[in-house]
Amino acid sequence: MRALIWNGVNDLRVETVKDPEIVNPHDCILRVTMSTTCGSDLHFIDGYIPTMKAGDVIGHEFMGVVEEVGPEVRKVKKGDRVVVPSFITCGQCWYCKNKLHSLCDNTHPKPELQEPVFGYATAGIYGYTHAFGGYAGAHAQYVRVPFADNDCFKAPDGLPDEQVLFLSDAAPTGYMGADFCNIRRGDVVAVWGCGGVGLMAQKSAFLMGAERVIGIDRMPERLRMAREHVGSETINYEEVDSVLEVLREMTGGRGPDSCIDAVGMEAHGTGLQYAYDRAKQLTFMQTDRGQALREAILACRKGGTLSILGVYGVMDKFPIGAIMNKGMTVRTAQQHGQAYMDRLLDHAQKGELNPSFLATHRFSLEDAPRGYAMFKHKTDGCVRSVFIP
Amino acid sequence: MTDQHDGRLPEDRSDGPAGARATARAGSWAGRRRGGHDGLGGVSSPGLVGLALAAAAGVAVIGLIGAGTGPASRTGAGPTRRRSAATPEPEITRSITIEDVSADELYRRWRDPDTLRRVMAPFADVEPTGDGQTRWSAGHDLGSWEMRLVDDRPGEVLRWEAQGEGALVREASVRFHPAGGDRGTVVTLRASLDPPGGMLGRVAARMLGGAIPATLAGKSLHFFKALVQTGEIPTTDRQPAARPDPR
Repeated sequence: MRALIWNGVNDLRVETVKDPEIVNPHDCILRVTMSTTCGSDLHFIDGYIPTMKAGDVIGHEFMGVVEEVGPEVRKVKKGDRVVVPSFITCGQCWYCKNKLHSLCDNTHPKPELQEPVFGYATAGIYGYTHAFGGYAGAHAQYVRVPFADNDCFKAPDGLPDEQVLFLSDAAPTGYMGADFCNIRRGDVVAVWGCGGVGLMAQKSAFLMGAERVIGIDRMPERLRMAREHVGSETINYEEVDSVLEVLREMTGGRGPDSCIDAVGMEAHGTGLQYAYDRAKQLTFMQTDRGQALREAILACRKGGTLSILGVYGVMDKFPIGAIMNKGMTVRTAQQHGQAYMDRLLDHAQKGELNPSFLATHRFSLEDAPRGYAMFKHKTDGCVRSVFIP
Repeated sequence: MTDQHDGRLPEDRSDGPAGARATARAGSWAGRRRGGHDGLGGVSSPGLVGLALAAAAGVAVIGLIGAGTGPASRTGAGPTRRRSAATPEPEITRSITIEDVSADELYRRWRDPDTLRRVMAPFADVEPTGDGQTRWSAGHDLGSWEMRLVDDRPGEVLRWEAQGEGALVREASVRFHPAGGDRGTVVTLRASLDPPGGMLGRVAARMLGGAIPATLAGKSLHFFKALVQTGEIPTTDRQPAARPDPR
């Protein structure tokens, strides 16, 4: 089959590899009909997250049609059109039973790679480094899906692929981030990042009853999407002196009730703005790559919630003093998509959630390297590149 | 779920009889003090150099995912009292909690030669030779040896002893006891290995690119849990790759 292969830092190529096969009894083989880029992929494409191996198939946000099932698969059938959350989960362990799916105990084949750094291993994930399991990814014609009965969710008839695709990752991640905020009527929620996850977090905040949602980014077309597709107010952080000051005034001097970081470890920043200098002074920060997260911490109202969706590894100079003294609640996780899928599908079927506007650019799988390049550099307003094998 | 779960585990109040708790605590402390960093330093990853370079370049947040080998992995770790990776602990203690499965059932599963063979695969090939004996072959020219089951109490313990000289593992046991808080059963794997300076030094150098046996014991327990709870062991075997997979 053809698949998108990581060959080294910033070296992606489409190559011919052997087809996946049923290995374990609960596996299925999916014929991928659509997959998409994710900002978190850029971290290992750019070389910030190690434990990739040359030859790895990448991609973790996808959907497809079931081609073959293992002998112990009961619910999923050949021909089913399904969407699959990016974390692989068993459905049997304590974490799965408590709806903390991305923490599943039983799907990481190489826990010894994660335990030294995190203490305990997370669930495995498709196409996202060997520290996260080393499973082959989904930017390919076919992908092996372990625990098919637990992780394959049937796409309702009548919903096109583009509307269902993002229920694999962007939508549940954003939805979970909003859920973490325990939104009450009248709440103001600020979201750093207007990429796929950030836009979904903004939409979800409205679905959960937020009165106002404020999206923060620097790309005009993404800010326009936040306004036009979601109904958010927006701040272009490159056009204001201080995001903190703007948010403070927008909220009557209180600060947002909840702040969601949908940016992650490669945050951009203006670097010279007042708020950043102030933060640096207060907390001895030295660099700007975690700027979105730090800004979110300072901007949040006292007693508010910080919801972290951006992917991080290790950060020093973390302003824990602001979190402690302001009595904030911090919630974070990799996405527990399986826990939210029923609600997401329900929203989609009622017409309340249609993430297809994220799919700004379509490519054949053969053009995937170009799709990633456009996505990375945000060329031509690219929010998400979608690949069709 | 936000209201119900805050991501923390309930306090693990009692994981068994006082003696077992004390032993486990002592074991884990020894692991932290001496073996813990071995785990970090022992797992091979080419990514760590990249991490160090990235840190030096001033990148604020680095995906410090892959543990690495070499001096770079220890930089910034502070003073340690670790031994070198070539002389790991001769005693290993690792535990895992398996929810919703009784001690009797776990005992029965561990007693199954096929289970033993599959969960020990990261460490050694284990084949029954009859009469309660098993033949262990560690690979990597580390030899093979016979283990005899010398203690067999259903629902409580299984213990094996090596027969003759030259065994990599002199003694091993698996104990089962109730987890606190209605959390299932704790399985504790203990092993006494060939003393440092002997064969074991070569183990560290050769197995999994330097992973110490405690890491492998932990992996075997993970595999056991996955097998018992789901009926399969997570694997990336036989998956697509664009070039021969050295894993």
